[in-house]
Amino acid sequence: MNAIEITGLTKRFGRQDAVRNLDLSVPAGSIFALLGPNGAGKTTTIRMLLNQLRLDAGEGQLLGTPIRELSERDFEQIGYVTDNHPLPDWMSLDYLLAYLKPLYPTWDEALCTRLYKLFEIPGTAKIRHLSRGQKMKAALLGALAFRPKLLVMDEPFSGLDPAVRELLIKGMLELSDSEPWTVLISSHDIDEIERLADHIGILRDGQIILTENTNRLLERFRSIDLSLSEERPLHEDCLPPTWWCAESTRKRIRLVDTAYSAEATQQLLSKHFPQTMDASITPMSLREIYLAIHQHSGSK
Amino acid sequence: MKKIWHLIGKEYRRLARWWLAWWGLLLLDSLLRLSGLGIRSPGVLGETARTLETFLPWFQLAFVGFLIARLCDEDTATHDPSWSRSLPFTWWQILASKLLLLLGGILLPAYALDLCYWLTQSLGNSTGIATLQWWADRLRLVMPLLVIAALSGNVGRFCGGLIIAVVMAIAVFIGTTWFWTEMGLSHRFRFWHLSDDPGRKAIAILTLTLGCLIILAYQFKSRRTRWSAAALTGVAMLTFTAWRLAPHFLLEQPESVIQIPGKVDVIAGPPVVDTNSSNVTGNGQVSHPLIATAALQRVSPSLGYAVHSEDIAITLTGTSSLISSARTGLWHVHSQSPFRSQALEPLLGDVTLLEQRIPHHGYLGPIPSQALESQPTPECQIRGTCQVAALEPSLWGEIPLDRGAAMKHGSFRVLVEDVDSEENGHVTLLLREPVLRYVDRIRSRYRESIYGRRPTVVLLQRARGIGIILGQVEPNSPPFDNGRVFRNRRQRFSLYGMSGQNSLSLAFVDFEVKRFQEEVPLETPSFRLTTMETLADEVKRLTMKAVSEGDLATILRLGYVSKPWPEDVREGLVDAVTDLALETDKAAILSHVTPYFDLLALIESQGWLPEAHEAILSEALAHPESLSLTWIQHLASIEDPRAANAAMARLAQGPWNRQVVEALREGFPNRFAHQMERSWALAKLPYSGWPTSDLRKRILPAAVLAGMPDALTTAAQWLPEDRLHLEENLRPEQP
Repeated sequence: MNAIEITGLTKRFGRQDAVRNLDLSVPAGSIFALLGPNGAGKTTTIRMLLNQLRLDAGEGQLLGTPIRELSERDFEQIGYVTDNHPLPDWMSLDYLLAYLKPLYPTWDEALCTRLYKLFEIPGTAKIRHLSRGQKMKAALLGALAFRPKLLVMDEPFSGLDPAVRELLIKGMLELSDSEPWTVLISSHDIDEIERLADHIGILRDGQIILTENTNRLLERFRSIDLSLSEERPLHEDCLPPTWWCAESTRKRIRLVDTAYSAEATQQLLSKHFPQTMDASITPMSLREIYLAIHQHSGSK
Repeated sequence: MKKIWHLIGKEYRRLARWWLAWWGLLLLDSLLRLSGLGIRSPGVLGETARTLETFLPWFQLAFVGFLIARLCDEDTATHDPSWSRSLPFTWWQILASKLLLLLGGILLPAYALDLCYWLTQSLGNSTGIATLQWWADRLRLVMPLLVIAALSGNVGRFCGGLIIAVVMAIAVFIGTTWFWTEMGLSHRFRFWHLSDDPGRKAIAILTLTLGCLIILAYQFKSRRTRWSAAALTGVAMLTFTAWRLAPHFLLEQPESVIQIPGKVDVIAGPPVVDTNSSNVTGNGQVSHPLIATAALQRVSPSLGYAVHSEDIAITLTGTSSLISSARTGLWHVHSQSPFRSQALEPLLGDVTLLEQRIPHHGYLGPIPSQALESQPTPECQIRGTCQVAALEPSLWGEIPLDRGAAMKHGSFRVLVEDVDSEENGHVTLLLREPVLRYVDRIRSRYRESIYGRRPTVVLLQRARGIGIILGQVEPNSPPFDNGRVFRNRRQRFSLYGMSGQNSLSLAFVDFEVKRFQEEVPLETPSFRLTTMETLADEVKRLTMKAVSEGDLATILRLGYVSKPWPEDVREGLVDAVTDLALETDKAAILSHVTPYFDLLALIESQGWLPEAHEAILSEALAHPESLSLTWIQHLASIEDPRAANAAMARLAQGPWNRQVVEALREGFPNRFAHQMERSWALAKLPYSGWPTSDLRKRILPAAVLAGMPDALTTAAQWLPEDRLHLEENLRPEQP
């Protein structure tokens, strides 16, 4: 069962394709991270998902409801946190919570109190007087307190200091521990994403170039550093297609294996680089994987 | 519904201070109206109140625009990122909350305060039509503002959108007019007036309101701003078209139908003269030779028309009712431009204009009888046919209908106002409907010609839908209550009533006729109406007779004469007192003469001068510049040093004409020479305090007549170009 299911999603701004024929499935109960460079179409995709932008083509479902037919009932189960939609700055946090509470039948006052204490935001101060981190915490508090079935977050960590990021993640984990929910998060902050997400989707030029379980992704990507006995030219065409980003400097070769398996990788190395004196195969962080994918897709 | 109230509560809290400011503005307006400060208070306080009353509606209008813009800058309907869009609200809940806020926050408080005002003015029993009118006026304004605000999303863009909307509205208006004109569905005249016919207005406002609601719903649902903007343009076009071309379902068929094109027979009218120009002196003499203008007297049919060709449009304006000496009807050709004059000739067919001159646009009035006796009157030389090609909307014409008739011609409703009962109501004046909105201007412009000097009460109710009251005061009946003042939200209307010979009576009221009729007998015990024609919106005629007796004592007891009336009313009031005065009223009139110098004429005519000795002296001292020849002679007969003081003040202040100077010299020979020398010496000083060189020139004739040694030399220096003027003033009187 997928919480989000979209096929062929397309959005054009003038002659520019912001999102092109995008297919995406987010399994229910997963924390799905949408990664991509600036202008890749992450925010546009999210806004289309929430029916805030009209779809030029394609269709999709959120929690089983077609995107175009999302009603107030559906939004009672969807939390949305974004840096782009500023909270009404004339409200105080206390009034914001009081304003939101009657809108959601599933509002959990106890959870709200717990998060309130955790985030340590001044309740009586106007939102316009809060810092950026405090505003984001307030937004997250409002979005978590009604225990949404789907939480959509658009760049929640951008511009926040590590302590605030930690608190936000803590807040999210607080809810994840108690009941299953689905989170769709788009971010550039890959370190935080690596800790949170169990599924990764990478967008480039309005298209999904990869969606995968995070663990599997981390397992199959390896950085390989070879020391050769003699200098030899590197012909990328002769290398297996699963080896990306190969670089050579004299007697050293670096590459990324995208289909790592201890035995198979070893065999391939022996076959393509018989003069290997030393081989270092190390796991990659999500950041390194993302950069490798980004570089590889760019070169293609 | 719960969520809608939730949103409304949030908005009230968000804009709390602005709501309070709005309600404060409304309250201030109401307090000003109820207190009547602007009407009653003299001095700075009254002036401040009147200024506030003038500008407050405009400020309120701007504030409403601001409030509407603020209303739409959260929970927006545009594509801008909006936090509220991720909340569980439907588009219609947000829209409904905004509409309810508009209604409850902006319109209802204003309406409630208006209602309170009406109730306190005892107008509450029949406010139905006025209420509808009120709503219509505001909806016409508020709904487009709300659409623009919804399409803009914030206050800054709202201001920009407003400018674009105004430009677009003008373009659409001109475009629509041009289109319908080219299609032949409208008048060939390219006029820009929109009908004030309530039926058409209702259709137009309904179109606008419904259109705006549909656009709002579409915008809040789909947020397609460009499409909505285009739709708004379409709605504006539809509104203008409806306003121009919709049927007149609230008006009866015309009682007279104009055949267009058609012909009108005309003959020349008697000579007329511009009464507003300075060529008619206060003594009824004409200082310049009379020019007989080519006033055309219509023969048939009996309606006002306009003449036009492809390039020119000229209105023939009916003015005979304005001219007491030519009551059979004159058409005043309304043109100043030589180009128009040339273009008019071929249009008039075989009409030959008298002296080949097109008369200037001016104020026509009767030629003084003295002038007619002393100067030859040109014969009527024009007889011919006017080709009528189209009806011009800004039409002033004449129609021999019964009093109180109402008609419509094409898209215009015409209300007929009787101005002369002596001819059995067959001399009438047409006021086109939009003009009725500016009755005050009409009154000021045609004060003398239309309203003055007639034993008639004309009660005009503004055409804002209520109707018109026509009335006539019985000869010699006293004025009714002049004290009542009414006003609507934008304008104040004072109820003036006079009667008797040479009196003026006007009322501009803005509430229902029926209520007025009920109030008149109660509030105006001294007013006697013989006829009152009521033309309600649905143009049903009512005739009523409200009779209440009154007498001069009541007028004086109520202190009418001492109230600070406008000039025209004051004159009418004095006329009324003059007409009604009997020997038994002498004491009462003498007691009021002090603030009313005009009453001295009455005193003089009644032979009460000895009893008014003190009053005359005090008035003469207070207003020496107004001393007429007669009064100077009278002062000379009084053996009181104050009389000489007043006369010398007259000599010092001017104005000086030959008769006055001679009367002063003869009446006060001892002090005349001395005073003249002083005045003359003062006038000759370069910086003597004489306000203008023009004033210095005016004393010249007096100086010459008084025999000042250097007067002629100085005159030659000062008046090289004014020789004729000087000669005219010095010319010996003809036998």
